[in-house]
Amino acid sequence: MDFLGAYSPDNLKFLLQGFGLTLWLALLAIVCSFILGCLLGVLRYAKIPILSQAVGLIVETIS
Amino acid sequence: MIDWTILTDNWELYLEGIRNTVLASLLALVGSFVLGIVIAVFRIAPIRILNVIGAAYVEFFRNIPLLLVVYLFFLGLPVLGLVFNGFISGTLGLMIYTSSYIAEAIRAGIQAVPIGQKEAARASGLTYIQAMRHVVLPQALKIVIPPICNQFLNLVKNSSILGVVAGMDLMYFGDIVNADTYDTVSSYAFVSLFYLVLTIPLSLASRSLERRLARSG
Repeated sequence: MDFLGAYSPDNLKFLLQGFGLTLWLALLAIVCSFILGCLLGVLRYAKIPILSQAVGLIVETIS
Repeated sequence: MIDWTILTDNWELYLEGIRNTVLASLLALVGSFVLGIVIAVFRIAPIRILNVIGAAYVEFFRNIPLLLVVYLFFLGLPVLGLVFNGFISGTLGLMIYTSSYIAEAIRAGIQAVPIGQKEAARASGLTYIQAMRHVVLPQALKIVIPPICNQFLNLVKNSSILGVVAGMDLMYFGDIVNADTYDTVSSYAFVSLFYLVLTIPLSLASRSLERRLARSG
């Protein structure tokens, strides 16, 4: 199988593993970020004195 | 926790990094804006083949990671005999990547102008170019500016990708300071501080611009 070089079955399996992890990570991050984003959005909208400013600070520094 | 001597000992490195980050951002900003306009024109021009080319460009570069776009220039082009250093390939990658987002913002803005505006302009005898120039584009500009400001802000932050390909930017020198001092937290704390110094004024400026545009109705 040496003539296949980088496209050998072993390498493809290795890449496919990474692909699976990428899919899981994406799914997990999409769900979690949506939930966390909703919570932070509500907190910021609710204008609770210190909490709202804290959320604003997080949003401004990270995004 | 934060050791300020890291900053006072290495300020020249940080300064060099900031300078290159600003330079890369400015070059990529101008380039991506021009390229974005061209691609947006491709996408909306009433010529079928240009539509397809524009759509393919946007879909390709918007849907692969920025790191891969930069690798395309840094590792891919040398195969064809074109060798660029990290700064140039990083800036080119950043420019191409951002231009696809800007093209989409511009296209969406132009298409958000009610179709009746264009039809009325055309019916009153203006050519396609005149209708665009005097009726559609002035209205689209207002819609387009907020998302474009957003993209420029993202561009400045994405320029940290130059650190991966030895592009001599702020992130790259942050890595060097970290490797020199072993004080990881302080090294990168100053890097983020300098990125905030660059981005927060931009963020405030874009917000006030948005407010001004909203008022001019």
